[in-house]
Parts: sequence; C-alpha cells; structure tokens
Amino acid sequence: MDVGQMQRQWLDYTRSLFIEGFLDNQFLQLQQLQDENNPEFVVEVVSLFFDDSERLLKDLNFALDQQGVDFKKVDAHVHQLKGSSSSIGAQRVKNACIAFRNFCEDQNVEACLRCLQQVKQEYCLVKNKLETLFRLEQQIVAAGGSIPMMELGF
Amino acid sequence: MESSSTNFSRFFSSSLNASSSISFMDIKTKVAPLLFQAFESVPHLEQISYIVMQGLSFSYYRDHLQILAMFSNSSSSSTLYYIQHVDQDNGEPYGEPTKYNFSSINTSWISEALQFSYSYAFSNASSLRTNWSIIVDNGHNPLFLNSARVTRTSVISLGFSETTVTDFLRAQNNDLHQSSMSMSWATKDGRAIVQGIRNTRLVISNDTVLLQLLDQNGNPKGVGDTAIPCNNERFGSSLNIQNTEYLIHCSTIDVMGIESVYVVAIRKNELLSFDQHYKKKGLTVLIVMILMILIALVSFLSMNARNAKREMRLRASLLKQMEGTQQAERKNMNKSLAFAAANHDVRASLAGLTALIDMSFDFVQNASELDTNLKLMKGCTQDLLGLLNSILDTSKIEAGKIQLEEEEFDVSILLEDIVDLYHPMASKKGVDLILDPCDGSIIRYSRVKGDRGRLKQVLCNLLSNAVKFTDEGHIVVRARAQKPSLHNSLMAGNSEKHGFMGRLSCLCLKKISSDEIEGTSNSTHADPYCVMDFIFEVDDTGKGIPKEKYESVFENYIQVKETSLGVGGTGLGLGIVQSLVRLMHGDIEISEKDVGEKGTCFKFNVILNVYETITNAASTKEEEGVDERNHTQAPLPTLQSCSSGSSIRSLSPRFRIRSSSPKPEPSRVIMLIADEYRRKATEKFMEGLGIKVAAAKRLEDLFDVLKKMKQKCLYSSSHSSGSQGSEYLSASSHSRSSRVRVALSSMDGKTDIGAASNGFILIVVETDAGPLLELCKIVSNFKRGLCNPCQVVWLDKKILFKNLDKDTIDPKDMVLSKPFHGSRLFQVIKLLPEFGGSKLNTQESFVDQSSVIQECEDTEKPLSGKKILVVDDTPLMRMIALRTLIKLGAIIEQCENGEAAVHLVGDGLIKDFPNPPYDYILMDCQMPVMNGFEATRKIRKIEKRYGNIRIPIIALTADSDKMTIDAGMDFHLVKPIDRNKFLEAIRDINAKKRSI
Repeated sequence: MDVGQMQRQWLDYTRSLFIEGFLDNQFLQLQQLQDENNPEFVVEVVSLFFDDSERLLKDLNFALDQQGVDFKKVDAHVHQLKGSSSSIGAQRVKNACIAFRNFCEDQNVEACLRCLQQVKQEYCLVKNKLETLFRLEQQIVAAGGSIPMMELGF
Repeated sequence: MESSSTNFSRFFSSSLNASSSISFMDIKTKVAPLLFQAFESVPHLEQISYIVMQGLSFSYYRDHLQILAMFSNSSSSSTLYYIQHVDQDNGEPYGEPTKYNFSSINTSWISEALQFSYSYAFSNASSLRTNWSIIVDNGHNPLFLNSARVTRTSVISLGFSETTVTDFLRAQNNDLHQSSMSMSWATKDGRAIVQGIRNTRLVISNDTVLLQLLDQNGNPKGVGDTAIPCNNERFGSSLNIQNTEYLIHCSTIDVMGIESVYVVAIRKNELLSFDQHYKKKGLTVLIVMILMILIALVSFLSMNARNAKREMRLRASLLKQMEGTQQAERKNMNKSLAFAAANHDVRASLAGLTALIDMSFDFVQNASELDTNLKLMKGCTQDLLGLLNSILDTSKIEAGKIQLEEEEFDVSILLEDIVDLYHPMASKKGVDLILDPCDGSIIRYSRVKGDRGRLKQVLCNLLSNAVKFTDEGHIVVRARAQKPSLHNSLMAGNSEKHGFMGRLSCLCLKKISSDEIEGTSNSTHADPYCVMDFIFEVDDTGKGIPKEKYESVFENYIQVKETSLGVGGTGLGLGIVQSLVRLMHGDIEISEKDVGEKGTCFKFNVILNVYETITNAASTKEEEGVDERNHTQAPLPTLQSCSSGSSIRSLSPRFRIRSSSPKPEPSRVIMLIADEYRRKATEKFMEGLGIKVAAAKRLEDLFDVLKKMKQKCLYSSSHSSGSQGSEYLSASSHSRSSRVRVALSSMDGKTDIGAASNGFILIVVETDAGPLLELCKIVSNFKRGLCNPCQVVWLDKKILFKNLDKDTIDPKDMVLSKPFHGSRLFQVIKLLPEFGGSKLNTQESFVDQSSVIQECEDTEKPLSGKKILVVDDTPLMRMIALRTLIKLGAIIEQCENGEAAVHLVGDGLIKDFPNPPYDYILMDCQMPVMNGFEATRKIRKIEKRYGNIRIPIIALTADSDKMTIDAGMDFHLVKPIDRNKFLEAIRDINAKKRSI
C-alpha cells in the first residue's frame, strides 16, 4: 500500500471515529499539542489513559464487588475516569461515566454494575479503535510518510 | 616488310582489274601514281618496280636523295631502259628521259635488281609467294629485294636498303663489345654482313662455318682456321684468336627470308673471372644469411623455451595461491558464521542469566550479602552484554550490514544528555566534563535529521574512553556546525548528492501528496533541509596516545598496550566508531595537541541534514531553546529587546513610565568557576552573546571583582539620587535619567566594569570554589546595599544544598546541581533581562507584563516567560496540561497533590520574595492527600504573611463552581483543559486585578 493511500485511509478512519462519537474535539487538541519535539505525545497520553483506566476499572470492579458498597469511593473513581476520558476526548466513555455517576448518587448497585459493564465496553471499543489508529500511523511513518493534519470541523 | 609486297600485289591486282594486255601508257597513268604513293609511304623503301612479262617495266628508286624513275616501254627482245627525273611531290616524271646504259655504274644495281626480279618472277610463275634476295653492288648498299606477282604477267618488287637491317645488329654488336663479347654475321651464300669478331672472316660452307683467322693486314693466315657446326648447339666451342681464348657460339638466323648465320665470341677468361667473382660473393652472402637465420632461430627457440618454463612456474604458483586464498576465504567465512552463531548462543545464555538473576532478587532479603552479590552479577552480565554487542556491531560493520536510520532529533539536546550522562562518572574521578558550545552554531542548527542512535554511540564511546583514561584535569566536548567546506566536501560529495536527490524526491513527494491528499497541504510544507558539517571534539587531559599509534588505534582489536593496562575493553570501540563516522559521511582523527599539553583530542565530523529553524515557526520549538536560538540568530539581542520594548511603549503611552522590561543598561555576569577551561568557555560564549562577563578563578578574585563592581555601582547610584529603597521600588521610573548618566560616566572615561548603574547583575558561583559560608558571606555583603537587581546562581556539584539550612543562602538564589552547560547555561542566561528574564520583576512590572500579554495575546506564545504550577494527581492530566501550557510558552512546575503545592508555594515565597514564586497555579480539585480547595485555602493563608502577594489560582474541575470561590480560587475551568479557555481565564484574572 502506498503512503498516499494509507494517509487517506487514516483520514477516513479518524473521521469515522469522530462521526461515530468515539472521539471529540479534545482529541484534536491533543493532536495539535504534538510536534516534532514530542512526536509521540498523543500515543504517550493515550497509553497513560489506558493504564489509568484499567487501574480504575479494576478498582471499580473491586469496590462494587464488596458487600457494603462504598459509593463515595466508587464515585471518586468514576469521577477520575470521567476526567481522564474527557481529557483525551474519549467521548463515549465520558458519557457512560456521567450516567454511572448519576446512579452512584442514587446508590443503585445494580445499575452501577450495569454502567460499569457499559463503561468497560466503551473503553474496550475506544481502546481498539485508538490502537488501530496508532498502528496505521506507525505504518505511514514507516513507509516514510507524515501524519496528515485533521482539519478542525467536527 | 615481308608482308608489304604481298599486300601491294593484292592491291594492284584489284586496282588494275587485270586485262591480259597492258600497254605502257596504262602503266604510266595507272600504276605509276600508285607506285609513287607506296614508295613515299613505306618506310625504308629504296626501290619499287612494276614489271610486265613482255618487257614493260616501271620503277622508282632513290639515288643520292633524288627520286628517279626507270622504265622500258618496248616489248621487243632488246629492251631499252630510260631513266627520268621525278617530281618529289607528285611522282610525275619530268625532263628528258635518258637512255639507260647498263654499263653505267650508277644504275647497275637497279638493273640487276630488275633483272633478278624479272627472272625470278617468271621462272616460277605459278607461285604468288614473295621472294627475297640481296643485291649488292659496290656503289650502293646491298638491297633486300622483295617481289610478288600481281597478275599472271606482271610482278611488283620492293627493295629495302640493307642498312636498315644491319644497323640494328650493329647496335647490338656495339653493346656486346662493352662486355667483351663480339659477333659476326653472314648470309648463307657467304656474304658477310657484320664482321664483329676481330681478325676473323666467316666462310660458310654447307652447314658449317669456317672462321678464318686473318693477320694484321687482313690476309688469311691459313693456319688455325676453325670450323664451327652451325646447328644451334647450346655449348659453343673454344677458339684461340691471337692468344686470346674465345668461346664461340654459332647459330642460324632467318632475316627477311634470307638464311644467314651469326657467330658470337666471348673472351673466355673474362667470362670466367666474372663468373667466379660473382659466385664467391654470392656464396659468402648466402652463408652469412644462413648463419644469421640459424642464430635467430636458435635464440628464438631458446627464448620460447625459457618463457614457457617461466609461465609454467607462474601458473603453478598462481594455482597454489588461488587455492590458498580460497581456503583462507572459506576458513574466514566459516569462522564468521561460527562466530555469529556462538555470539547468538552466548547472548541467549546471557539473557537467561539476567532473567534468572532478576528472579533470584525476589527471593533475597534486601541488603543481604546475597543481594549485593546478585547485584554485582547483574552488573557483570550487563558488561558482558555490552561487550557482546560491540563484537556483534563489528561483525555487522564487516559484513556491511549496518544501515543508518534517519530520524529527526535535536543535536544539542543529545549532546547535553550524553555529557550529563558521563558527568557524574567523570566527577567521581575528579575530572570535570565540559560541554563547550563554541560559537553556538550547534544550537542554531540543532534540528537535524540523521541516525541519532549511532551518533550517540560514537559520542558515548569517545566519552567513556576519555573518562576511562583521564585521571585529572578536564574533558571538553566541543561541537560546532559549519557549511561543508571543500576539504570535507570531498568526503561528503556522496551525501551532498544524496541530499540533493533527497530534496528532489522530497519535492516530488510533496507534489504527489498535495495532489493526492486533500486538506493536508499545510502539513507538507517545504522541507528546508540543508546539509551541514557537524564537528565534534572530545578533548581530554589523560594519558594520551603515542603519536605513532594514531593510525592504528582505529583498527579493530588494537589497544595501546602501555596505557590500557588494567582498564579492560576489547579494543573494538574505536574501530566501530570510525566505521560509524564514515558511514555518516565524516571522518575521525586524532588532532594533534600543542607540545606540553597532555591527553588526546579526538575530532570527528559528520554530515547531517539540518532543518533550518525558522523563527516564526517558534510554536513548534521548545520554549527555552527557541529563545536561545532567537538570540543567537540576532547579532544584537539587546537591540532587539530594546526595539520591541519601544514598540510596546509607543503602542500604549501609559506603559512608558512603569514598564521596566526594556532595560537599555547592559547586564553583567560575575562568575566564579574553578576549572579554567569551563570558565573560559562559558565566558567566551556569553561574550559572544554580547554579555559583559567578569570571571574569577578563586575566592579572593571573586572578592576583588565584587568589590570593584560594587564601588562602581554605588558611585553611580549615589550620583543619581539619595534613597536606595525608593529607587529599588521604582527602579525603572528614572530609567531615562540613568541612561543619561551612563552617557555621562562613559564620557568620564570610567566605563569599564560597573559603568551601568541599574544593569542587572548575575552572579554565578561554584559552591566548591571555597568554604561555602565564606562564599555566602561575600555574596550577601555584595548584595547588601546594592541598588541593582541581582540574581545569584549557585552551581552545586556535590548536592550540598540539600543538607544546608536555609539561612545560609538567600532563598531567592537559584541552585543548579547539574553541570553548568547546555540548557542550564541558557536558563541562566535567560535570567538576564535582555534575554527575557522575568524573575527580577517587582510587583508593578509583573502587572505590566500581564497586560502586555493582552496586547499581544494572539501571538504564538502569549504566556512566554510565565511560571505556572500545575497541581494534579493523575499523570495523564498533568501531561496534557503541561503540553498545552508549554505550547503557550510558559515554564511549568508540577506536583501531585495539594500538600506538595502548598509546600512549593511556601518555599517559593521565602526564596523569591517579594516576587511571587509562580505567576499562576492550575489546581485540580479532587486529589488524594489534600484536595485543591484545602490547598488553596492554605496557600492564601501563607500569602497573607507576605502582604501584597496573591497568586492567581485557577481551579480545574469537572464539577460546578460553587466551592471554588469560597476556597479563594480566582477562576475555574472545566476539564479538560483548553487553550483558549485558559487564556480567557488569564485575561479575566488580569482584568480583575487591574480593577482592584
């Protein structure tokens, strides 16, 4: 596959991510922060997000498994998850977290568990999507091309 | 001649159309003109006649150059002949014919001829054959007569002079006389025509020729006559004529139908001598030639033989050699293969060992003996792995398999990283490792494309060598960039071509990509790559390398024996280094040092593609680097800042008085650095930037320098006004008057060191240059009562300050614990107001600057020079905030929770008072240990102690804002942080502050 084709594919893919609501403007902001001094910035941030989220999800799982659920703690975790997901622009995770927090306030364990599953699912989805995106970028770079800029318009 | 009469006869017969009887008149009118024509045209013709049987005849003949006609017109028995003169032109006879008298001598021969022909013609009437005879008379030459019958009754005869025939033979005879040969000739009927042989007469009888010898008088001797058979024999007989031996040869010859004989006599002895003479000569020539041919043949053969022999020998040796070479190559290849395989195995087992050691760590108590042993073991395996890698590198280079990986990187950062990496190792040995920025060109062209890893490998290798072999003194790393010169462009020819091609392909790529990809043209802006020659020098003061080993150290497996004892290593390093440098189109050499200087100086250059830094693309650059670059590019940085300042002033007149940032007074730097080289290098670099530097080597020097400086400052300030305090508070309010003063004092001629009254003074002191307490005392003494803004930078090598109590050192002072070069150097330089220093600003100037932001907020870096504290517990958030703010030009400090933030602010206030330690604080709300609200409250409490200070705190939250104002925060932003929102917040805060 030649570079141009890959670049076009990358653009299409990114566009689809935005259209399907996986990502929002914040991700574009991240991309703009990336420059030749920090060529890996987005990847680094996103991998930090992955680490963070996985830890938080584990904690959430653990917290919700407990007999007496400490909703304050759960809420704090979800809050953090929401913060970090919104920071990288993972819109659907963020939305799921908002719903999650509402149930937390209601202290509804079952709904919380359901929300957790949803958050997890969204997280896995966005993780897969982002990993594919980065793989594409790596291929483009390996083929000697540059990552095209996304125009702001979403 | 012979054919002519026959031809004539034919001609005549056809013209006469022979009637049986021909009258004389017929003859006269018809025949005579034809005869005359023939007589005139046939060469050598003496006589021509036409004879009819009845006695009629007509003939022309030549007599003493006169042509005469003789005719007889009667056919009676007694024939009468008449002779008449003839006109030479037309053959008409004229004059009176005279009756011919046969007795007349003059005409006897012609009548004879006539008669002869007549008798002949009619006696043998049947034949038409020509007939020859010779008619001789005394008064005339003999005549060859040729007659042919015309008709039955008439005959034509032609007479040729004998002389025409004999002249030819005589000429022959004359030739023969010269070669001692002579010839005689006679007709068969005994008449001699040529008597060539002297004293002889030919007498012919039948088939033999009798050669009569004559005496002196011409009478036959009668003795010694020789008869020679005339039968054309090949060999002649010999004859003795007058005591001379002759060889006689006789043969018959037929001349015009007349049988004749000729005899050739050759003098015998002459012939013989001639013969022998030539025979001898010929023989010798022949012999000589044969001999020469023989010699040539022999030598040729022998040479051939020798050559063949030699060739055989050579071939044999060549075969042997080839076999040997092949064997050696095979062996070498096998060795390499085995080597690689063995290396691989060793690496595998090493990896196993490392893993096992790592696993063992888990089972071992910390700090037990086993633990330390394990650690040592791990170190050993690391060493082994390094060794193995270098060996593998070598074999890779040998196989030509190493390829450069092109990537963009910052050469100055790389250099600094490497130097920092080796600095602790060097300082442990008491050696100072110095990075000399030279002319700063390396910073200007720091963005390069090349193989970062390999360059690092080269530098690391050289540096580790330098550290390894240097026990005292210093190691200097010098780096500079220059345009490829002629000298090394030879080496770089390849790469330049490559560069050109690269550029070309870049262009193509650009075109293609801009064609293919929509909306991405802004990403593929023209790549302004140019090729630069980067020169690096690693100069140490170690043991050095003997001069004769300069070449060989770069060969593999070579170590300088005398110096490498007890140090270890394989001797592969420099070989690899050289190969790598050459791979990067450069070369490495050991440059010679001056006599008496210790150590070695490795100098190498590499050709790298430079990404030309464009100043307006500053957004892509790291803040400090760009600042530096801007200044190095502008030859007069002070001027630049002045002009920008004046432009600000002209924009808004209310800044004119209060603005303090554009200071026209030059700053000065006072340095106390023990190491001479570092001091000089730093001094040179700063002076290159237009900074005035006073450097001291020892404590006492510093004391003197400071004293002098202070005197000057005090002198000038006492001239200006009284109270120092008021001046300090409104330092810049009389910047104009101070400028005038500068001019005055410069006219006084006292303008060397401290002529500038209000110039910024930067003091850079190494802590180990003397007893610390004393140093502090000197510095604080200097600062006391000094009106100039002043900043002290402590260079701490041994990390002493951690253990020092805060009282010793002014909290405002800056402490650098890492070597003073590279980015630290630039950071310090940037403290100077000319280079954008902001730490010295008083409260007023702070406000000014924040309003300046408003003026130029749409530039790339509205927060340039601002110090912001980011407080957040998640690294993700911190990272994003960091990048966002750095992009805006701010300097960032970060911490993880509220408690740390409170500590930082507290310490900062102590140190920096009256300046606030941070321009803004970006505070997360929900944090472990201490949340943002509580931290804000505590910070506000601390600030109260210092009175006037209130650091704007911006809350970063996901929640509503109800608590933020209560807690004392100035603004709140909803996560995630956004560039524009943040700027808006800052604008809002500034507006509020001004309204207060």
